[in-house]
Amino acid sequence: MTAPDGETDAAVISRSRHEPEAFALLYDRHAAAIYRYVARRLGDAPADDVVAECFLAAFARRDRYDPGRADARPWLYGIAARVIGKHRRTEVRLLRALARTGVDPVAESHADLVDSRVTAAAQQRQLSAALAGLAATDREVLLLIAWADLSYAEVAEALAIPVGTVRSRLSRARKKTRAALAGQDLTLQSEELYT
Amino acid sequence: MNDLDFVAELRAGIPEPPSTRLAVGRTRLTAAIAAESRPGTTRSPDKRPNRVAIASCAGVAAAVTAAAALVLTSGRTAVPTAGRAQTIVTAAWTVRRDTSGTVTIYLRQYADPAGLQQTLHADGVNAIVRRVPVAMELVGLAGRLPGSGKTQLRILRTACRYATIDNAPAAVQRAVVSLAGGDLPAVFTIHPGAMPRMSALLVPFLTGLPASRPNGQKHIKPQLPVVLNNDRVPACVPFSKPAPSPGAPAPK
Repeated sequence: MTAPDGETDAAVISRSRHEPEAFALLYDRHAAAIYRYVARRLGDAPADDVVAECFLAAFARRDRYDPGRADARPWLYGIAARVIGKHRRTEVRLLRALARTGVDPVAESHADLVDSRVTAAAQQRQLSAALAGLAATDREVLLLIAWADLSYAEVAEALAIPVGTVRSRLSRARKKTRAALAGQDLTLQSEELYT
Repeated sequence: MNDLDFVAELRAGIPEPPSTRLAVGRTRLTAAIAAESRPGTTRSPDKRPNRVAIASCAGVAAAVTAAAALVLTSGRTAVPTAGRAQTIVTAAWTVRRDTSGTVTIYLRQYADPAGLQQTLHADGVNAIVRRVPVAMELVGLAGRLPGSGKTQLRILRTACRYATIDNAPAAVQRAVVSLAGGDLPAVFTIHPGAMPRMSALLVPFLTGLPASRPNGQKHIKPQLPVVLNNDRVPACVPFSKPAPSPGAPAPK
């Protein structure tokens, strides 16, 4: 990522090797997006610690950052993924709760901001059941693409795996999500409103 | 809308974190930075993250206020990805532009129309977001229910209509806009490349919706955006007043 001042993430990280306080700029650029990604997976309560731990780990490892990678997002999401991995049981429990009850415990804490108390649509419940049933590695790839907007190459970079592995894991995950959504009408057409 | 879109939409309503939450992490990072910057402190390049985390917990509350001022943002979360997909998220809607230029609107609530219009413009859609009020209308009385009186039948409908709208042909409408899911939250897909030159997309934004749905009201269907041949939008004429016909004498 390049900031309006033209300094890339890589340049910030390089500078932080002799000016440690520069690393805070990386937090200001990316913490909100990383936080939101973590909160979507684990809820708000663990997200505080996961995000803090993620950036502290990144700060400690900044000497190993490849300065040829201008955008630090894949690196940060990769670190976040490893921290999230420690909370895998929590994630699966939350997804299963949504599948079982139709009420999303993650979204419910934001009920004053979003209409999350409304019982989830059938496809959301089936989808969350499918996500809970995925292998952790497959779910990681799927959610980095769908929720973090990373490309295949960036996911490969984040998880330190070949792009071919990203494709195969995504394919496996999508096969299961498609099966879960089978029978749902995804192409309803609109009609005029009450006139 | 494919399965990946459904995954992307799951929990998309989770907003950006409040500044106080981000301040906690920033304070811990600041403490770690300060510890390293202290004269005489040397840094091991392979510090384990859990050690850093434990060492930096002190003084969190004291610095929250100062750090909060640094992380306040505009209320939207942008996930920019240069030259590729981009997603803008608010509590009310998400606008996602994919690599092909297709723009998808995930509409959860009718809120922040100005922000939506601005976001669509940034994504190459010449959009005009206009508020359209809805009104409750009594359409009749139903039969007697045991132990109660007559039941009123009411419907929600738009309180006005665009009588003289200059919209593009139906084939263009179909090529530009589609909608998945007939209820809120709704998902509109827009193909800006299919919009004719000089055209505009009118996005009706319903206002005055009741907080809770009346009896018998199963759905609140979002109104489909309309491709206009130009960017001139006529006034939405209330149903209670007849729409002026072209060439009719102006009322005195």
